[in-house]
Amino acid sequence: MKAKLCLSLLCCGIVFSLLAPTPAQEAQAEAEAEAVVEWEPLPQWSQDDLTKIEKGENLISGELFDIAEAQEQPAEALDLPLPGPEIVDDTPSTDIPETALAAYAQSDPLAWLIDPQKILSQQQFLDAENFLQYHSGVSKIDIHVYLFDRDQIIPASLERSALIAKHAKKDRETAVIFYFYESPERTEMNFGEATRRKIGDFERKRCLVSSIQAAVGKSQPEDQLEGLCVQMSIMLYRLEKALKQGIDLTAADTLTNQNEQQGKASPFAKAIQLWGTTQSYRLRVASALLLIGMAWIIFAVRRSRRSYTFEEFDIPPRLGGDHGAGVGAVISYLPYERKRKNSDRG
Amino acid sequence: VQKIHRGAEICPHCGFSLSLANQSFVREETRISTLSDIVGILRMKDRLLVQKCMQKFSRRFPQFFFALYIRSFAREADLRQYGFWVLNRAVFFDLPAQLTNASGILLVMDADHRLAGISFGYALDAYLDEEDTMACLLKAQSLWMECQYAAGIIAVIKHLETILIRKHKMLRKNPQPFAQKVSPPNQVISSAKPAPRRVESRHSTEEEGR
Repeated sequence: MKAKLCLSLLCCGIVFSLLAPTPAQEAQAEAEAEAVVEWEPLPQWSQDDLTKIEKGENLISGELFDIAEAQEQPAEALDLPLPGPEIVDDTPSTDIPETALAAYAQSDPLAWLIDPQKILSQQQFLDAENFLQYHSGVSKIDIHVYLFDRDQIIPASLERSALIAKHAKKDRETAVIFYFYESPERTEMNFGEATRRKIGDFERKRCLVSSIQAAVGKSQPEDQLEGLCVQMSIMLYRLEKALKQGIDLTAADTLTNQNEQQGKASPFAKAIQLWGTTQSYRLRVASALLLIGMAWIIFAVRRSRRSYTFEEFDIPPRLGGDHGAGVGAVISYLPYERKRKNSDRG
Repeated sequence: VQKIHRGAEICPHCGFSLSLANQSFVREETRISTLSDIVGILRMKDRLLVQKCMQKFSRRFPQFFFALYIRSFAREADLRQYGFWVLNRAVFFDLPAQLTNASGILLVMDADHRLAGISFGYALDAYLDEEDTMACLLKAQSLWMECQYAAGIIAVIKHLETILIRKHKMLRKNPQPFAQKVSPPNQVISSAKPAPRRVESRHSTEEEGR
């Protein structure tokens, strides 16, 4: 075993010694490498530089310093603001610029989205406007959106009623939305005069609340506007459908007014309101069945308590009877066994 | 039951009339209650139930009243004759003043021979017939066989109510057949409308006798 190991090591040593370069070969390789590399020439002093150095002058830095000194401005020319918390004003303005107010007032009545302050980017504006235009194509209730910034307050000079009246059309219903960008909970919504009479305040509030909830659920401001518009479109479509079916949408308003007058809503009024607003058909069917059952019970009770009056006829007496000669049937109610016994006896 | 002419004073077959019946039942008590249980087959509880049912009948049909007369006969009597006689001769002392025997429906029961029959006054001539009374009695027959007397009597009253309500509806729709049924024999109603089948079968110038 050891002999085999020694023999293999010996073979390896022989192979390595044969492959390794010889000293003559190494010297030849170094000479070839030196011949290939061409070194760059060393820098040479010019005659001017040499003269300057001999005189003891600086070659470069002096010129650089001269440039910096030439650009330096005098201290009295600077007018920097003094640092301090009273100067920094982070509170956003609630005012709407005059130019924007005029633009709102003079906006095109046919415009779907009015944004004179350029709050939306061009792409966002086009997307929103396209959606509102699409909605007007499929619905008879148009939506016009006035866009304001988050904290802006609509001044009294910009009359909402005038803006709403501006969009009123003869053959179409109108809904005008005042939307505050990044603050959808402040959204206001109003119908045109004719539409308001048909739909009523209760349904308007339902639409608005539902749309605001849809918008608040979004995190991005542009998504919030989109969500509000989409939900508003859905709610208005439902109202339109109800109007087509001839449902009185102002009934809930009447009930609400009555309840407000009474101070506290009666259970019956609540039930009627629930009946009108519920979407569950099971509840409706159950209520209808309950009503039918109650009506049937009332009918049965009244029927059982009803008295019947018959017509009286003059009838001549018969067989000498003063009161009656109407003889009816006679039956025997003997048990079967007794009947048989009787017949057996007979 | 044979049918006789409506104007007959006596039965042409057997000569029966009220005067004959008076002779037969001369010893009978004539002052009775609308609920008379001479033999006492009804318990107090049952009696109250029957009384309540009779009052309800009177409330629903204020022109009529229901009377019950339960007794026993020494020998098997003719309940038709007896019912006819009681209805014409008896004085129901608990009857409202505005009602006469002519508006009564009398159920007579013979407790010994286990027979029951119904007689009714002239006011009900147009609205009841033998078939109706037979239907009422058949409702009670099985109950009476099991000695459930009160239940049987109540069944009779309930079925009578059903029949009278049905007749009331028919009367409102077309009173002509009812008028024709009780019209005098010499009066011809030319414009009479076809009457309902059930009533028409009994309409003729004849009336049932004994």
